[in-house]
Amino acid sequence: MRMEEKIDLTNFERSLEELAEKLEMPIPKENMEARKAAILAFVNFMITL
Amino acid sequence: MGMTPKELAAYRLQLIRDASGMQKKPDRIPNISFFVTWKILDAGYKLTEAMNDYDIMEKVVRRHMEVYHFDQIFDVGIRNAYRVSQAMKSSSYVINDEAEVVSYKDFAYCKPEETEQFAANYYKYLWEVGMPRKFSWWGKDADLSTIQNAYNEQNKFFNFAFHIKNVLRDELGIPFNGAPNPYAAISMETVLAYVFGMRGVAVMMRRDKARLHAVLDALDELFFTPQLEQLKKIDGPNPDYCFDYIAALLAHNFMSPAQWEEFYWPYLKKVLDVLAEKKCNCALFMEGAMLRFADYFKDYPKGLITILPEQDDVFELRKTLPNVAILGGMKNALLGRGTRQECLDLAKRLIDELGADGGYMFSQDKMGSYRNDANPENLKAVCDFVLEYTPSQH
Repeated sequence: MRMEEKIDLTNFERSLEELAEKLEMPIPKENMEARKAAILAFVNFMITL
Repeated sequence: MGMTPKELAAYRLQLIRDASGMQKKPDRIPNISFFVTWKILDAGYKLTEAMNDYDIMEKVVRRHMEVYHFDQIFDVGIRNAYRVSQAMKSSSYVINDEAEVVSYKDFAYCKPEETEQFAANYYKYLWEVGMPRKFSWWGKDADLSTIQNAYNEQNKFFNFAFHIKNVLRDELGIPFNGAPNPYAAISMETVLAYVFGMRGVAVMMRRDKARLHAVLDALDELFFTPQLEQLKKIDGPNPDYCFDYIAALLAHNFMSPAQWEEFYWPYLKKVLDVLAEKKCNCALFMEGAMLRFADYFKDYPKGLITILPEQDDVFELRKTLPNVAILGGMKNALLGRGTRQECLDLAKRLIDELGADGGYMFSQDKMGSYRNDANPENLKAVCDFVLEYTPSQH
């Protein structure tokens, strides 16, 4: 990931896909569904902060 | 005491299980901390120092448990995910170190007219409407590094939570508190805290029930019901933890009995019925006042419910609900401003009247937050007393 990289978050499906590709996570890229689920859990937590 | 941390954790776990179980009088009255940010100030740190630094927070929590010899603690320094919030560039937290106050802004991310969108696809709604409303940078040209940083901070926060609980158990003999069971959270609490906010819920319960139900139904389908189904599959009590289910209840304070019957009780009842069937125990922090809803809890068996009341009179609570274990009762207002003797007198009365036959855990009546929520000398005297005092049986 390039630190200055921008991401368009206006469309849920597209940007979830893109984030799951680009975010550095402890879940391998072979398991994209788990990466997406972790991002949704993250968003669900962030909305409470 | 001469026990190893492992032995001490097992002993304390048994104290709490016995007290909440109400079948056997515990060896002594367990003493449980309900202090949150007060312990930061008591340790001599500024609020932001500890909330920004997990090493400092660990020192704060360790010191709190070592000085006052608590058997358990509800907040192990993770009540406020401040660092994560900061990484998200959120303005929710306002911390004033000089005034020693942490404020959290009430924020509702959903408008009633968006209910259909919310109910149709919760995550899509959250992503495209809720998140940009809460975080102004969440949009077309968001910095990937901001999200990465927040995600990393989230993981650090969870790692700290895991770490501190293990430190407390393995080094200080504090048992694990809440079991990692499937967690069927009451949807109304989520709606009140985040979706529509307190004012929104109060208005919608009167004027827009259909939309409120639609949102509750969507959350139930996505979270509550699947978790409840998973909870039904557990074997029974988890003997490695003090409580099988812990919940904080706030929304009842905004409800009439009819609204409680319609929006809250059916869900809480489902959880309590499952826990009762499994012979599990639960701790319910009933914020505000709950005695006007006491009838709903009176038919459950002893050993299921422990209530931590906030404003209700604990002695009246015992008379009204003799089937419920009580956690709390020590008034922070007295700990903060009373004399040592007044504090000791209340501590003795609580233990004598509520704990003589079991079913009582000593704790405070508020989440200790401000410096005046306890005078350290009063608290130390009370904690030493609780550790030594054995009430005579009724």
